[in-house]
Order: sequence, then C-alpha cells, then structure tokens
Amino acid sequence: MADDSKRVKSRRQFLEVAGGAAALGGLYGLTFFQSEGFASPKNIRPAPTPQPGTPDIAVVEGNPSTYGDITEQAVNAIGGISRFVKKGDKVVITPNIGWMRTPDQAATTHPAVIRKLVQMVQSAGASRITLIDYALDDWKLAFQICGARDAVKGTMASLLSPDHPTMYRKVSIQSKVPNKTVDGAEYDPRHHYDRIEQMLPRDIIEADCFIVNPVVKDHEAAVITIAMKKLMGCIWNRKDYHRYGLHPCIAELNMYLRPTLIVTDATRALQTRGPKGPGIVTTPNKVLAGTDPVAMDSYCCQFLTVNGVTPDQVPHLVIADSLGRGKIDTSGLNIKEM
Amino acid sequence: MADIPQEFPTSRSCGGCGTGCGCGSRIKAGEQRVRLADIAAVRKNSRKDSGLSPVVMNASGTTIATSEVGDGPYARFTSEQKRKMREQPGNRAAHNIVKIRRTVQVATFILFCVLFFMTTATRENSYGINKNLFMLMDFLNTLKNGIASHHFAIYAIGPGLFILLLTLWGGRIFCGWICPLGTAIDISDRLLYRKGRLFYTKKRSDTRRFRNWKYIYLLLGLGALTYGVDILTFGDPISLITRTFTFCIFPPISYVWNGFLNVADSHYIHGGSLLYNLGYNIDNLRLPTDHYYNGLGVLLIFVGLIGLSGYQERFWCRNLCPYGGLLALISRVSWLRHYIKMDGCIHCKKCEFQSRMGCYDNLDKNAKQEAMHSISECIQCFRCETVCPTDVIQIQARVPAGIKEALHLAPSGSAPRPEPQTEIDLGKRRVVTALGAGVLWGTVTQSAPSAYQGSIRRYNKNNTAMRPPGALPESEFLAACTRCAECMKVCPTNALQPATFEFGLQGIWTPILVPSIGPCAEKCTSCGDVCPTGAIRPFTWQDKRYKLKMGLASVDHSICVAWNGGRDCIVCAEVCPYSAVVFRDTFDDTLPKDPTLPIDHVDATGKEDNRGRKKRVPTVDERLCTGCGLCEYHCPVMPTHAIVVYTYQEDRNFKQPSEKWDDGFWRGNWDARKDVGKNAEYAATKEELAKHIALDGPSGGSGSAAGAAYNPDPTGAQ
Repeated sequence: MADDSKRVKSRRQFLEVAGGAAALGGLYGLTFFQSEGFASPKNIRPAPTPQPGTPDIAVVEGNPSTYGDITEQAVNAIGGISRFVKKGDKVVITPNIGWMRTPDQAATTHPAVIRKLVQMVQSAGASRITLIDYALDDWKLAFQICGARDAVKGTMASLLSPDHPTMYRKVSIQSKVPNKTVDGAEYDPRHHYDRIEQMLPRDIIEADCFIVNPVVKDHEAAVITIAMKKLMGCIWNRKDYHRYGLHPCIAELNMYLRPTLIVTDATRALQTRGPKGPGIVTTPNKVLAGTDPVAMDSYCCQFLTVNGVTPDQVPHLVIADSLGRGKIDTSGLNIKEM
Repeated sequence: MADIPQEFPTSRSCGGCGTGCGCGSRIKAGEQRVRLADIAAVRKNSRKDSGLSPVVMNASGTTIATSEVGDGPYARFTSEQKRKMREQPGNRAAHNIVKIRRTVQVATFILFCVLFFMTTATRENSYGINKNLFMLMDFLNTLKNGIASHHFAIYAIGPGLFILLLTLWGGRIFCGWICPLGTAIDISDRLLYRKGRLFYTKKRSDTRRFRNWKYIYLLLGLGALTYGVDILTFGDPISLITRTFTFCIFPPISYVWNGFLNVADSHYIHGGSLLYNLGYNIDNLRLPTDHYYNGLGVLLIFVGLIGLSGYQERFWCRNLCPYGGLLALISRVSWLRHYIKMDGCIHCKKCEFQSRMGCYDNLDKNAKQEAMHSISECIQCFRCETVCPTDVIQIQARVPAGIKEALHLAPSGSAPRPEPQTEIDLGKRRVVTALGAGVLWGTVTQSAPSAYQGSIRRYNKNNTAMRPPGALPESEFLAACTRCAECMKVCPTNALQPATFEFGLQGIWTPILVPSIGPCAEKCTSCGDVCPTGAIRPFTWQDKRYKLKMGLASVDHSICVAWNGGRDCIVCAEVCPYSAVVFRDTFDDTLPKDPTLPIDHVDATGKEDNRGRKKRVPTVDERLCTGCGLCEYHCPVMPTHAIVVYTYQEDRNFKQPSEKWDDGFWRGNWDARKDVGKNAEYAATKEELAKHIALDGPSGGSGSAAGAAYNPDPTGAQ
C-alpha cells in the first residue's frame, strides 16, 4: 500500500524521536534516584561562647511602648547582634506567628519585637531573612491577625509557613542524640530511624544563622512552650512526637537543631489554655536574650505565675539537662537584669 | 489505492482552513497526498453504470462541458476545468468563516482551560469573571436541576439564556464553535485519526444509524428526573469535560510539573536546594498536588468517546450527547439555514462525506428520494459550503420564508426556501416508551427514599460521609448535583472527594468531605461560590461558623492517646478554630503514678501507693462544633483517627445569599455583596456561642477578665 511508506520512519527520524524521548525520560527519571542520605543544617553557626563579662542571659524590663527598644537592649547586653549575624548570612528567624490570635491574646510574639529583631538582623548585613512558623491555623489569616505581616513590611524579611513536604529535607535527629546521659545512665532515643522520620525546612538546612524568637506560654500538653518547644514550629512530622511522647522528642530535637541566638518575648505571658488560648494573660513586660535554650526556659518558668510552674515539673527541661544540652539550674549563671 | 487513475486530480495539502478542500493555498513542497482518492475509490463502483453525461452548472451559472469517459466524479471535466475548480473550489467567504470558526474554537477552549486553572480557592486572580461560565452555558443543567430538585440557580440563567437565543437563531453553533468537549474531540480527531486526510468515513450508510440515541437518552433522563435521579449528568458535555479535567488531566500535569521543578532545584541529588542558594524561590511556581478517588471510571469514559471518533467523526456529538439532543430539537426552528441549489449540484458527494456530523442524505445521482439536509444534526461547521466545488450550498441567515409570506413581506412562493429536512425519527410511541423507561429507572435506582429515617427526605444516608457546607437537603442535593467536580477542583485542602457508593448508585461522583485527607478550611467559601447548579448553595463564612453544621466530632476513647494511656496530647484542642474541643482532667486508676514503678507497688506500710493518676482528656462541645474536621485531620492517631467527625446533627437549612440573574457572566463585588445582613442575622448566635467557650484550662484560674476580651472573630472583617 502506498500509505505504508509514510509510516516507516527513516533511521535518522527514529533516532531523533528516540533520543528526545530518552533524554526527557531520563531527566524526569532522576526523581526516582533521590539520595538516601540525610541533609543537615551544617551551615548554622553555633552559638558563640559567652565572653567574660557578658551575661548568659540578659533580661530587660520595659513598658508596652518600648518593646522594640528593650529587644535591642537585651541583644546588646549579650554582645550585640554582630556577634551572631555576619555579613552575607542567610538568616532564619522562627517566631510564634502561627495562630489566629491578636497580639493582646499573648499566643504570638509581639509584632514590635519581631520588627526590631528583623531590623537588627538586616542592619547586621544579612543577605536573606526568612521568618518560619508552620502554622496550624490558616497561615494567611494567622500572619495577618497576629501582626507579623505588618511587622515585616518594609524590611527584606519574608514570612513562610512551610505547609508542603516538598519544602522539607529529611534529617537524622538521632545522629546527635547520645545513648547515655551525662550521668552515665542508659538513654533510649525516641528518634530511631524506623520510628520517627523527621524533616526540616529547606530554608533552615541552607541557613547560616538560626534565631529563635518565642513567646512565653503555658502549654496544656508540654507544660510550657518557650524556646525548646518552639522548634516544633519548624518540623514536618509533629504527629509522631505526640504519639511517642512529647518531652523526650522535644529534648532530642534541641540536641540536633541548635539556635545561634534566642530572643524570648516575655512582654506578655499566656497563663492558661495554651498554646492557642484564649486564656489568662499577664504582662511581665520583659524581653530576654541568651543562647542556652534550657537555661532560658528554666528562667522563664517564673513568668508563668498562675499555674506556678517550676523547672522540675517540666520533663523536657529535665531530659535536656540530663543529656547535656544546657543547664536547668540557673543559679550558677550570669544573669543580668536591667 | 493502486487502481486510482493517474489523471485523477490528486489534491494537495492545503493547510489553509483545514477542511482539505484542495484550494492549494500554502502548499508545502513534497507534501502531496492523495486525498480525493478516497472519494474516487468509493464513488467509482457506484457511478460505473450510470452512463449519464450530466449537464451541470457552476457557480457563475455557465454550463460546463462534460467529458465522455466516466471514471470518478471529476472525470467528466476537461483538465483545464478541473484545474479551475481546484483553484476556486467554492465559496471564498466560507473559507474565511471556517478559519474564524477554528479560531473561535481554539480561543474558547483556551478560555475554558484558563478558567479551569483559575478555579482555585485564591480569589486574587478571578477579576470577577465567573469561573464556571462554560458550565452555566449548559442550560440542560439548569433545566434538569430545576425539574428534579425544585431549586433554580438564579445566576445560571444568563449564559444559558444566551445559548438558547443563539440556538434559536443559528442552530447548534454551541456544539460546533464553543463546546470544549467538541473542540477536544476535534483536536484528537485531527491528531489521531484524520491526520492529513479529509475524513475517515469509509461508508456512508452508518451516519444515520445511531442518531436517535441522544434523543432517547435525553428522554430517559428527563423521565428519571421525576424521581430525582439524574442520569443525564454522565453525558452532559461540560460536566463531563470538567470532571475529566479535574480527575484525569490536572493531577498528572501538576505531578509532572512539580517533578521538573524538583529536578531543576537539584532536590533529589544532594538534598539541598540549588536555586535557593542562587537566590530564587520556586515554591510559588508549584501546582497543588491533588488526589482523587475514582478517577479511572471518568478516564475510561473520556478515552472511550475519543475512541468512538475513530468509527465516526464526532460520534459522541452525533449520537450520544444529551445536550446536543436538546439543542437539536430547538434548532429545528433556527434561521441560519443551508440554501442548496440542487440544479447546480454535480453529485460529487463531497459534502455528504465531509460533513462533520453526517447531515446530508440522498445526494447520490441515482437516489430515489429527494436530497436532504438535517439542520438538527448540523453544527454549522461550514465545511460543506467550503468544499462544494460548484458553490451550490449557501449558508445564510434569513427570515424564514413562511414568516415572510405570512407578514406579506414577500409574495407567496417567492422567498427562497431552505433545504428539505430529514425528519427526526422519533414517533409518539418512542417518546412515551423512553419517558416511561426513565421513570422506571428513577424508581428503582433512587437512593434517598422518602421513608428514610421517618418522614422527610432530608437526612444523609451515610453517617461518615459528610457533604460540603451549603449542600441542599440530601434528596435535592442528589438531584441537583451535576458531578462536574468543580467543587473538588476548587477545594484548597483537597478535602472534597468523589463518592463511590456511599450514597448508593445515585450518589456516584458526588462530593463528600473527607477530613482525613484535608479539613474544611475555616473561612473558605469556594465550593459554594463555584457550584454551577446551586447543589452547594453559595454561603458565607458566617453561615458556616454559626449555622451550617456538617457533622459532629466524636472522640474514640479506646484509641485516643490521651484517653487510653494518659499521654500528653492536645492537638485537637490546639487546632480547633471554634474552641469546641475542651480538655478536662479526669482520674484514671489504671495508670501508674510513677511510671518507673509497677502499678501495684506497695510502700513500706504495705499500702498501694502507685495506683492512679490524673490525666487530661478531650471532649467535644456539641454547641460549638461545626464538623469541619480539622481535629480529625491533625489527630496523630493513624490511620483511623481517634477523633472522627460523623454526620450527626448536620444542618442544611439556611438563608442563602441572594443572587442576580446576570451573576453568571460577571459576579462583581460578590464577596462583599453576599455578606450583607449576615452580621445582624447571626449577632445573637455569636453572643450565645461566646458564652459557651471555656476560657479556663482544666487546671483552673478564674479567667473572667480574659473572657470579656475574647472575640470569636479576630479578623475584624465585617
């Protein structure tokens, strides 16, 4: 038949088509060869050791009109922002901005604190600033209502609620968790490979500087939520933490992910029905800066007056202390109150 | 094809208008293909014994000399005449109209695709255009919805009315020029079957065989509608193509696209992010990755109707489409008609073979009956006028001769009459039988019987499958839903899924809310805004918050990690936007006070001191719960969640926002308009609910001061 001649491709045509198909297929096939290895936030600069004379924790008291100023004073008291942020750094800040609650309901970091912190980081020469909180509420509304959207307006910072697994990279938490406590007792890490697979946002993996900016809150499950519990706002697999026990998992996450700087917002403290509220709110009017999350949380327990929490009642502080992450006993630390 | 005589005018690839008329514009070198050969091969045998030497007229009315040798339709002409006829094969204006028609088809198809991709919950890009414009053009939807559910979607009237008037004037222009399913079939025809050829119908006889099926289907469906059973929706063209796009076209596109983004980002190679380090953020380019149950059935239907086009061009539109059937009945009185001068016809039968819908009958020279054209089948593709070599077919919009004569605008008998019509072969007996069979079908398949749960047909049949907010009462919802899947496409959390048999045979592909896939987002009203039939009525977020209960969450004490085991988990209370999950303290004597010691540990005095401790457990306040499913979605107990939403206490009665008849074209200012009056309507409810919100944790505190400051609507909008 005459038509058959049209169907027979020349060798050249065949090779063109086959080569193109193979190239496309091969390119897309790369997706199936994803690396088995773990990513790690290896670029994050460790917290600098306190120099003689600078306090471990700086506490500055102010009033509602000076929340921004006391934030700057607190950071300056422990050595200034340039000790933590270098020029050209990719900085990730993780504030509490994931709830649809107004600032006076105390479930979120105060916008004035966020704004001043972002401005300080920007003036220190950061090349990129990302504010990350994986919001449980609708993130667009949450960022708007808690004031974070207005707080970063005009700065180079961007807000991000990483709500899709493609924004995350797999990490190995258990690689940094010891099998023995500092006292020599056996410790069974909850993060075992086949038990909990954990992922961190790509932005944190690639970051040079990681700043935690929590607010002091009561938490009905984890007792308190300050700097250590705040890290649960930037992980993907939170369900397993609730299933396998919240406190050891929080402590192990803090062993792995070590912030460069902690700026705690204790201007208001949510005393009941945390972490979302609404509940009773008190106003200690303080901002704290430090580098040790265990000591920070331990010190901030005194602001939760209604329930009267002491550090010994918080299991994740006790576990983190026993693993050597920080000091739960703040009596030996150099704490400067201003 | 070897027996084709070489002197036969092999037409060349035209490429101008796509009708393959052979007019020779833009011929590519080396692209000569035998096209008219197909006609010749078929015609050869039938004309062999005719022995006639016809005297025919060309367009200008001059007589064309006939040749002696009869071999093929053109063999009677001299080569010079043949050359002229090839170069001027008919109506130049018709060529242009075909080009316009193809442009309109492609443009409307692109518009359909753009509107489809814009059908997302983010409202920033809608510009007030109604994103389901094409669904609303399908007035069969509006009609059957009104018949079956007694609920007319007011805003669907506008585009439907436009198409009705267009059909009354010009017949099935919608089918040939606008319908995205028709365009999809045409494109696939061109790519898969037609390739370079004019047509692929090898036999003429098959074109009339199945024509009536669409009328039968339409009547069956109308009959079944009396019992609220909607079988027309499976063939409704716009529903079908929208459903196919949602289930079968969009998910693969988004997967492939996102996969290429991941490759570009080197995501899979070193675990890091190449583009992030280079300063680019590609997350905004990602498409939502939606999953749907039951895509296979939809895909098979679509593939099947594309495959049927291999048998007849536009098999679906000719024989099966119920909306096409409805438009065909209406188009009997249309004005845009084919005026055929039969005395100039050379019986080449090009029109008969190439008519996209097989409209022409009895064009054979030896036909016993009068040559006919069927306007009810014609989709005004203008191909016949274009290919006619002697220009005897003219498609013109004239006032019908009968009206002209009745109004004495023209003397009797002088006004040009359109072509003789092939009657629709649909007698009284068939109509009655089809309607009766439809009613029978309705009675035996309806799944919302009136006796269900006592008295009224309002209750959901299934206690776990929730309907989206704003859904009509169940029996009316089943009748009104057209299964276009736009609500599932628009759902930002992928929570709406097509039902399988949760609601019986009648409820297949209707939307259900599956909280374990995604929750009903707090202030989202997209599914109500987008529903073309009003099966999901437009609602406001206040309606969802204060009135429309989709169900009630219920805690399973045997698997909840807080109830059973006393672990610290408050996720359901954390995520609840309505503060409906309340934690309270309870004492559990099966838990050890000190976990390191056995529960029956005895102290020095022989007394058990380790038995029982306090635990903190979730309960649900039924006044505040709306059944949105956020708690179920976030519950860490998997795969069966410890807090599950059931359809208890669902409420489907509310005062829906008023619509205007022209909202179908342009829903200007809709978001603000639909909220009018809702604040006042729900002021008392809001106040009442705020009283029930527990402000204190289980561990106490008075907390009344904070309670006064609580505002259940922190956005301050409205």
